[in-house]
Amino acid sequence: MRRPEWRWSDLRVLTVGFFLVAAWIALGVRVYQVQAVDAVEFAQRGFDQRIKHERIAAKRGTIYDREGVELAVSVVGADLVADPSLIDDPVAIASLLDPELDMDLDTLTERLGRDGRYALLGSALRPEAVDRIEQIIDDNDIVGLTLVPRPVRVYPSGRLAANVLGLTRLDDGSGLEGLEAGLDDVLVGKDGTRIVERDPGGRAIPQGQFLVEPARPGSDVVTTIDRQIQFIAESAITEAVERTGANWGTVVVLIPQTGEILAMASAPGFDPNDRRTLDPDAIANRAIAEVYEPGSTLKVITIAGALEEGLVSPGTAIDVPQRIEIGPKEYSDPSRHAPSMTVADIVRKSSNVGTIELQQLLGNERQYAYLDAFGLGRASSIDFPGERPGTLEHVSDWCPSTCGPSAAIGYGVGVTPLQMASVFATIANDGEWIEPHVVAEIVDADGDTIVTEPRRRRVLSAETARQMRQMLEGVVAGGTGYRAAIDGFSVGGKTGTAEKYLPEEGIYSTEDRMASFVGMAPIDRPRIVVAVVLDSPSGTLDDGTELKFGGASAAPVFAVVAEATLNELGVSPDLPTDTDG
Amino acid sequence: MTSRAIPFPTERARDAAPPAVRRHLPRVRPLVVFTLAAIIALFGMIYGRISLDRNAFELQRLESRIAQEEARYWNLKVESAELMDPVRITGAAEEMGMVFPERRVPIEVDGITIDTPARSIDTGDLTATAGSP
Repeated sequence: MRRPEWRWSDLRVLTVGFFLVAAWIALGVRVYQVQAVDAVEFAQRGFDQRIKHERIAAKRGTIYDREGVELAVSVVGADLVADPSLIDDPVAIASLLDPELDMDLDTLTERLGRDGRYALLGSALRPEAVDRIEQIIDDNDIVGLTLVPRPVRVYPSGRLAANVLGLTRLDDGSGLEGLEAGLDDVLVGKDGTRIVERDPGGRAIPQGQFLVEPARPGSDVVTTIDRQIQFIAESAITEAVERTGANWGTVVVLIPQTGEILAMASAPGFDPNDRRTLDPDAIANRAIAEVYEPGSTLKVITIAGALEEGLVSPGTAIDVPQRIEIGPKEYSDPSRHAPSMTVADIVRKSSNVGTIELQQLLGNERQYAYLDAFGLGRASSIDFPGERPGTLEHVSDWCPSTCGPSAAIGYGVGVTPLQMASVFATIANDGEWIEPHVVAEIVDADGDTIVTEPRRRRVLSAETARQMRQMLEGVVAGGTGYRAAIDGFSVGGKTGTAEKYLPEEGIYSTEDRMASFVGMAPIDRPRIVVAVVLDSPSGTLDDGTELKFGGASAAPVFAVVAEATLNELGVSPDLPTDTDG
Repeated sequence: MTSRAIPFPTERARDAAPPAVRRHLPRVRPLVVFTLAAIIALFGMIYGRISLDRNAFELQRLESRIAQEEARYWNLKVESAELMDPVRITGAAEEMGMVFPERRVPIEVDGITIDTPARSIDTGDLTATAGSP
């Protein structure tokens, strides 16, 4: 039998056949590996590519005024981002976008023209700005700009109550200042999660996996702020600061019977919606952030203590020299007065020497006890974690001779404007101290409400408080505070003019004064307490009175704010008005 | 050993009728029913799937619409609050020539207690004062 002849073509067939078989084997092995060995891993990788874990941002709680009008709201805005590699004419596009963005034209042009594929052009844009930018993009067929939706904090009333509300960070929306920062834990809510299966185009796959853990919105905060009164207070203090050239000014309006803060105005102020012109020095809420030596307004505590202890009565006459030496210090009264004064006269004329004599009767221990009982030296409000406590050294640390007398006339003790408003509110509320507060209630996402319950304590008897009010009325009726008078209302209050301490130099300024007036009306049953403080006012009135005095600069602000507030609250006059004939 | 050829079948044998076998005709009706049921089930499943998908798309559309309406609601709330801003109202009033009254005139009404408490402690608020021209 003859063997078949070997041919080259057979080798080629064999070779091809070998490679085909090898390829099939390799393919089979790979299929086995993919489908059997690594099946779970590949399935998971595919699943991971389709499944998207998306964050659902919790809506930040809304802050309302006392009538339920929004003061701070979160809405859906957007960030504007650009892909500079797609931008063909950065200069032209920058000029189109410039009016809508908080960025100067040069920076905008530079960002649009830079290398790379990402540039942030605008952050936390408000909805109306987003609409306008969308219109610009559509009208001009701009490619390479994207609006990325995100929550944005909006303050509908702009500058109104801005120093109370504070503001949030632009990047993560957390509270930065004011109530926004103080109540951040309450307002912030809890983010949710959405697990959704998406196709390569980013579209949700129907019937794909879809799990949602909804976001829990933050709680809403209802404040005690009255927008009308806040507006009046802000207008008045802003005008006063501009007129007197003061560094800053603040007004606090309180309801003494409840401790509710109706207004808390600071000047200069700021607009939290406009970050471009934001002045960091204007953000502070001066009513709680500024500590100053109050001067004569603090005399009411020493005098009230002396009355409460039964050491004197309003009609008690005592010899009051023009000056008095205690230890190494000499205290004097700036204006001439009779050698004998009643306690009421001491209050009316704001006599330093007379007040110091009453302090000497009261003694350091009891004086300190009253200063402490009125809430000095510690934060007085529950709503402002940033509130400064002021300075009140313990009586055991007082110097034996001059610390008590100095404190009696408002030196050596640091207070905030809110603390002084609270002191006078105690007198207005028949001697009961009530914690001042600006948050009326907090309403969570389930509608559960937490109503603020302010602390209370009795400091003075009702009778002492009544006597103090009568004496304070004399200050306005015929004393240093006559510019605080309001037509138709009995007003009581106290002026304060304190030399300004310069901490850097360790001395008192010879020029600058802290001018203040704290008062109440109507005097029999006060509905409001208003505190006004101005830092270093200057200039003179037409009659030559220097504006650095509290009676000249702060008392008129009190009159404007108190009259408008009483009118706004619907409080009837308790005295005949000029129009009564 | 002799071999014998296998006889070829004769014409007759070839033409002869096959032996009688009892013929089992297929039962047509159940088959048709089954086929129809299968087709209906198939189309039913397809329809169900389409229907579910459509509902899923509709749900997505509704959710998107809810989000849009919610955003619109809050935008309107903001707009409303902006319109109530005392700064805006005062500016608008001044533009119209309105001024603050220089004096207040209390109006007393018989039978009404004028001593009105602050708003926060009384809901029945009666304003007993009015600005004079």
